[in-house]
Amino acid sequence: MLLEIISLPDHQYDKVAFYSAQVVGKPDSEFADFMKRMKKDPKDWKQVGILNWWLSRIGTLYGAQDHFFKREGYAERLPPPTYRFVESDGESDFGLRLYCLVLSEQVVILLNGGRKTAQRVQDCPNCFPHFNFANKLSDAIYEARQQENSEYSTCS
Amino acid sequence: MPFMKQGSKKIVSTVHVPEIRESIRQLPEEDKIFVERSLEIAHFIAGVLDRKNLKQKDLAQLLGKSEAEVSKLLSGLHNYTLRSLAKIEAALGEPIVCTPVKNKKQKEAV
Repeated sequence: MLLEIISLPDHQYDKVAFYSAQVVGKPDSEFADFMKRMKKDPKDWKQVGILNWWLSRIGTLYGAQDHFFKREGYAERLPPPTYRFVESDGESDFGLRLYCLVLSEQVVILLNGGRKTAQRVQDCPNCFPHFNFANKLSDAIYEARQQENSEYSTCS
Repeated sequence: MPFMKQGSKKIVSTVHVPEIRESIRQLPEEDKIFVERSLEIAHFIAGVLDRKNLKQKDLAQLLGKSEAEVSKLLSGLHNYTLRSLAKIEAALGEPIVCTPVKNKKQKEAV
């Protein structure tokens, strides 16, 4: 599977630059696919607006600080960069989950996600494929960094 | 602006996602304020923990909650109740929320 990193000009801020990943051959990046799918349901769309506003405030005011992004419980034991996620307040359910990779406080790769309908992500058909993808991508980036095949910079 | 590169070449394409700005434009003002306040509170609590050399698990213990629950509190997307804020203030020994009235009185006292 070949991947391209996609810059998101609508999510570039002074403190954080957000990117996404696109599987070569697919029409959209992971984040663009997430946005288009969530647009179909008004409840999802509203929470997507909340997530995008949240991203913009993180990017403008705070930076991608560690405590803003959640981990699956067992991911504490994995080497970085483990995938992380953000989750909207579900009110009556588990909310919208968006997976991402936080490479530094200045660089975040936004991936995909969906509405979480089960306690465990493994039991949620909306989130599980994206959880898997995020897992694989974080492993691939970790290996690439070990082999020094990729680097990222926070130069302005 | 931060960017990703491989060797000396940039490997990044740029693609607009119009749904990003569209979703923000259509977001009601109260939801924007909710996010702003939640982020401010989360950021402030994280700062207090830092200053006091406490980890999230320490706050979890003080509050009698799980680490996963504390992780939610610090995400900047949490809908705090007044009761939960009171518990956090009591646990950390520091005020978290000030009303404009209290602020004004404090300024006058100085």
